[in-house]
Amino acid sequence: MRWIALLTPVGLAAAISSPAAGQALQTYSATRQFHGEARLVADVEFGAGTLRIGPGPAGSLYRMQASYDRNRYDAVSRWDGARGAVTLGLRSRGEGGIRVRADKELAQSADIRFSPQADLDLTLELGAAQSIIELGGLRLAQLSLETGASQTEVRFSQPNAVKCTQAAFSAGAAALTVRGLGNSRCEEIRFDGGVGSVMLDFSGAWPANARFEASIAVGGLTLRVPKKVGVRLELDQFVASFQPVGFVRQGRIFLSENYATAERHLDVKVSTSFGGLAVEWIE
Amino acid sequence: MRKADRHLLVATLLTFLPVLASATPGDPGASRNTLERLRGLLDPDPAPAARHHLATVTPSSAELIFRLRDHSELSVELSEGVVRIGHEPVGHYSPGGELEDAWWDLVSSTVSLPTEDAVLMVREWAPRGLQGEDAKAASRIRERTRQVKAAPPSPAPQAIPPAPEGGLVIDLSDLGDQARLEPLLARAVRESGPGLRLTVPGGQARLGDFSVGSGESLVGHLLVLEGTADVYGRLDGNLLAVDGDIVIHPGAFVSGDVLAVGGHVHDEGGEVTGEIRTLGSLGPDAAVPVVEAAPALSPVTHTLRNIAGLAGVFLTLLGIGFGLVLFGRPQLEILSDTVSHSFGRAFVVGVLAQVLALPTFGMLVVGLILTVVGVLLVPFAVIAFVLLAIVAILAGFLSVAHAMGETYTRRRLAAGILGSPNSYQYVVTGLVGIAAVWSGWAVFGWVPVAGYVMLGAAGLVTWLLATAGLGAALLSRLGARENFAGRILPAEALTDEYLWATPQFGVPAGRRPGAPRTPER
Repeated sequence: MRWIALLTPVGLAAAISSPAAGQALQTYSATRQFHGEARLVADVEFGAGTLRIGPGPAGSLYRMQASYDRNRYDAVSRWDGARGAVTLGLRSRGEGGIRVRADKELAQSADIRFSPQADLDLTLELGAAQSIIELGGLRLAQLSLETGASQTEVRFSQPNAVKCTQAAFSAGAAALTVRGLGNSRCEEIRFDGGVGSVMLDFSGAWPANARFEASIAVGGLTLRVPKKVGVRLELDQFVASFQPVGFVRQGRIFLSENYATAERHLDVKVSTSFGGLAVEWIE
Repeated sequence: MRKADRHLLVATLLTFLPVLASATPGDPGASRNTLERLRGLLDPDPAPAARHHLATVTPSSAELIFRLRDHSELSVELSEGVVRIGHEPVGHYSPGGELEDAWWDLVSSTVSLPTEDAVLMVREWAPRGLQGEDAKAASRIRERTRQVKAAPPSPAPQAIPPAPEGGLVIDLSDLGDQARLEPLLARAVRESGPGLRLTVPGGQARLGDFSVGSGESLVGHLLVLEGTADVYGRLDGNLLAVDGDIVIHPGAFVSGDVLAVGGHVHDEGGEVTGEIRTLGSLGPDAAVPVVEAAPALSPVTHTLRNIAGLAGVFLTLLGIGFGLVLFGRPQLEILSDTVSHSFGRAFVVGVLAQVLALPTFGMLVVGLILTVVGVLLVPFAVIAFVLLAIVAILAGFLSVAHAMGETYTRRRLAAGILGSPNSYQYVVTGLVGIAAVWSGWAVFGWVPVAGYVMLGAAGLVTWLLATAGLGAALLSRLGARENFAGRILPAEALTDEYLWATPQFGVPAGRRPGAPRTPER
């Protein structure tokens, strides 16, 4: 009994001296009304957590809702009126170290929406993030995605409303999946990969031909291409593995069997040292 | 006072003292935070506070909604025989029955009441004479409505006078700069009250609810503390509300950014040319606006701190050393002998090991990646490499201490001074010797230049010893390979001639005059 009496104030003091409020996630939102802007340049920086990006309501140019670890991150929403550019996301304060905490307390998240009415130049820099990026339904004019040790899925669920000049993906030790590239209307698609696993799915409406260039270090790259699309593959490899199923070889060039008759063409150029390349044919 | 009671009192004081002392002297905010924490723990009613309420009564339904301070809401609705709390059905009632009458009366009464009175009335609501489903439903309603309490009323609307020179200034020209704004706003909230003085450059500050009328045009930034900012007219500037909502009514125009801290922005159809932001709350860390540099330590404190650190490291190494002697004495002795007999070679190998460690590690990982099966081994290889490195460095360093201790002890024995020639003693003696190197820094480390010189010298000596130890660990394969220590003599060398001519450990042997040199192994 005496021990209980002695320990009670200890527990009480511990409760007081470690307030839960200091560990809570901060909430933040930023939005800008749509005032007829023709173009939006958006940079998204996201250090860690779960990120969702997609088309938003017609009345707003962009909108971000985030919850984050206020001790380690800052929410960013910077507008540059002269360029019509916005920077959004969660930026690390740059304090190093290892934090041991429950997963729930580190469950940072952000939901970012862009107007489907303005042409969008989108640059994404993702850290240790789990991301779902829905670009279908937007007016995507240009895309640059750079991701580190993350799990990222990019979707073009609907055809892009405008022509996209370039989509560039750069992945370190990441698991990257891009679905519906045939809806992207991107003339040129580039991929620069490290040691991760990457799957690029070229399904979609295919309103125009496309070029794809990839440089892979060690990771594996899988291309899923509709059978209706004619593919020309140029492979520059060192110790890479590639099974040319569905291709006819002409020197260093691989042509799909339907290349001459296909309505749409995908020109692929892959340079790899130790990476693996696989092409899967889909309906 | 009984002895047990005195113990309890002392324990309580000792436990709370650090908590109460954590409030910086002269910092009323910190003291208040601590007291609020205590008050929060002792508060028997930690219910969320209601800021607003909304009562709706129709012939077929009666709904009461409380908007809470944590931005959630509690709604209770009785409609067509169904009781809904938070829009979820939780029970049934008899239409035209006692519960319906009592609830309709209650909701109707709250329509014209201020929220705090409405909350009191709802919390005291206890209809009598109910039975069956009505009684159960009433019980559930009371259970939930008792979880609400009234928020303290907003302060009376008033302008905040400008601060005198050197006072609190909050520049609202950039509402995106949270890092700058949060500490200033936290200070404003902390000092909020009739005596608050605050300057907003190019604008004004208000306490309590504030509105810009529909025919009104306001030029400059606007800060509203602890109140709702209603904009019906035009505001040419940025708008910031702290602990309050911002309502942009239809027809309103704001030619700047809008930020609500601890509140919401309700865009009901007005136009905002800038960005609309909300921030959940001001951080508790923001309560201290300026982090002052830690005061310089006095020489005594500095010395005591260094000595404590040195003692900690010494005791840690001593513990590991004793463990090593206990469980791996043969290996430690081989390592120690390797250091004694091949110090130069061990040092060179140690230096090379430090230079080549990272390239070797990289080659190991790349080599494993290049092989199909090896990729799976990469995590294990990384862990094993790191563990081996730690073991080699620690064991090597302790073996140097062991060798130093052994040499010193044998010299004392040779001088006729009694001692205890065992590995525990060797490790203790060696570590004391190394600690002695650091003791100069521990005592005089606070001296401006000499302190750094002593630190550098002690660090250099320690690095030399650790490098030799690491080299010895590698040469002797962590004590598994004995011949580097000269402990095993080849069988062909075990001749009388060899044993006679070769100096044995600790036993100096004379050389036979004119005898040939001992054949080398």
